[in-house]
Amino acid sequence: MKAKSKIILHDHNHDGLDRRGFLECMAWAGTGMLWTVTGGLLGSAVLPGRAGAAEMDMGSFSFVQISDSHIGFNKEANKDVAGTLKEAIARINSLPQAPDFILHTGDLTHLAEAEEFDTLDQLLKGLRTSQIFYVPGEHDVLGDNGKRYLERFGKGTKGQGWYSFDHKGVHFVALVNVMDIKENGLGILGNEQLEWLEADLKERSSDTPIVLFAHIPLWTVYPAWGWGTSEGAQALSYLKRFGSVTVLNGHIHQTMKKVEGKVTFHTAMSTAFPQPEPGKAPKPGPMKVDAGKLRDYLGITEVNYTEGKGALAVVDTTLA
Amino acid sequence: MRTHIQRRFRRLYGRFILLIAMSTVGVTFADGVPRGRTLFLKNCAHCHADDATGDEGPDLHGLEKSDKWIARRIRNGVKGEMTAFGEKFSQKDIDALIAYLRTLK
Repeated sequence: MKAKSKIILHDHNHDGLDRRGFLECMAWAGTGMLWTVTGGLLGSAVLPGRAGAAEMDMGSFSFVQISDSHIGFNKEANKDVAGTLKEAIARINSLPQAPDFILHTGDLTHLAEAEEFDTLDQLLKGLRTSQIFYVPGEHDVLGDNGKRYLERFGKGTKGQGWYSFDHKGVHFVALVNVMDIKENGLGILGNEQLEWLEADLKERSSDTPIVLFAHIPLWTVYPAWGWGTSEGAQALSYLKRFGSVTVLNGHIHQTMKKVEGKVTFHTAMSTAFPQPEPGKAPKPGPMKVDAGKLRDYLGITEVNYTEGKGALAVVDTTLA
Repeated sequence: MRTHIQRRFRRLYGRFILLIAMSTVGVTFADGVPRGRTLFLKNCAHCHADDATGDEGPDLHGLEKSDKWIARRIRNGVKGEMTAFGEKFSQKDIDALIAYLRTLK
C-alpha cells in the first residue's frame, strides 16, 4: 500500500504547531491530521493510528465518505474512473481501523445507465466494509427521475429516497436534494422531505450527535454555479438545538469546510475527476489536469467519532 | 366555368388552411420557448451551461440538425456521452425544448 502522501490541511487551532510540525507528527504517527469541532470551536489533532485503536473500541467508530464516482464518465478529465474508484477502495481497505460503513454521497454514475450502476455495484463489492449507505446525485436521476437508482438503492427509504438511521449513539440523516433541481441549478429538498426531517429530528435529544449527508451542499458554496440548496437554511434551522452537527456533501469535487456555530460543513473530493474552484474558471465542468497530478485532486474522507468527545473528526486523503 | 370556380375555391381553401396551420404552429412555438427554457435550465444546463454555449456537453447554438434528429437525440441520449431523457420527457416537453433550442442563434 502506498502511504497517505498528501493530506488536506486545515489548521485553525492556533495551538502553536506549524504546518511542518504537523506533517512531521503525521509521519511519525503514520496517519493523518484531522480537525475537530468541540463546542463550535475548530481544532486539530493527529488521528489515532494503530496505537489509538483501543480508543476506538468503546462507543467509538469511524466511517468513510466517498463521492462522485461518476461511473461511465470517459472524457479527458479522467478516462478511467473505474480505475480511480478501485484505488479509492484499496485506500479504504488499507486503513488501520476498518470503517464501520461507507457513505456514498451521490453521482454514483454519470448517466444513470443500468450497466453503470452494475459496474459500481461490482466495484464496491471489493470493499472490506459491506455496509454502504447512498444518496443520489443529479447524474443518478436525471433521465428517469431516479427510477433506476431507487430500484437499486431506495429499498426501505422514504419519499424519493431519504432515510435516517442510528449507529452507536450517532443519528445519521440521508437527504435527497437532486430531484427536480431548480432552474439556477440549486438543490431542492421539497416540503414533504422537510416535514419528514423536522419530525425525524424532534424525536432526538439535543445531545445526540447528528450527521446529515446529501449530494449537493446544504450550505451556499457558490450559487452562480448552483452549488447550494435552496431550502438548506430551513433544513439547518431544525438542527439548532443539537450540540454536534456534521454535514457531509459532495457534488463540487473538492474539499471545502466551514463551521457555523455547532454545525460543521464539509464537502468531499470526487473519486473521478476534479472541478474548478468556485469562480476560478468560466464554467464548473470537469477540469483536466496533468495526468501525473490527477490523484492530487481525487480522494476519500474518513470520519471518526469518539463517544463523550462531542466531536466528529474529518480527514481528507487524496489518492496521490 | 364550374371547373374554374372549383379550382379557385380550392386554391383559396388551401391558403386558408395554410394560414390556420401557420398560426397554430406560431402559437405552439411561442408557448414552447419559455417552457423549453425552463426544461433546459433544469435538465440540460448542467452539461451544456446555463447559456447553452457548452461545458462538458457541446455548444447548442445554431444547431443544423432537423427537429426529428434533435428529438431522437434527447429521447435516446448518446451512450457514454449524454443522458437519455425518453423516460422523463413527453413529446410536448421535447417539442418545447426544440422550440427553445431554435431560438439559440
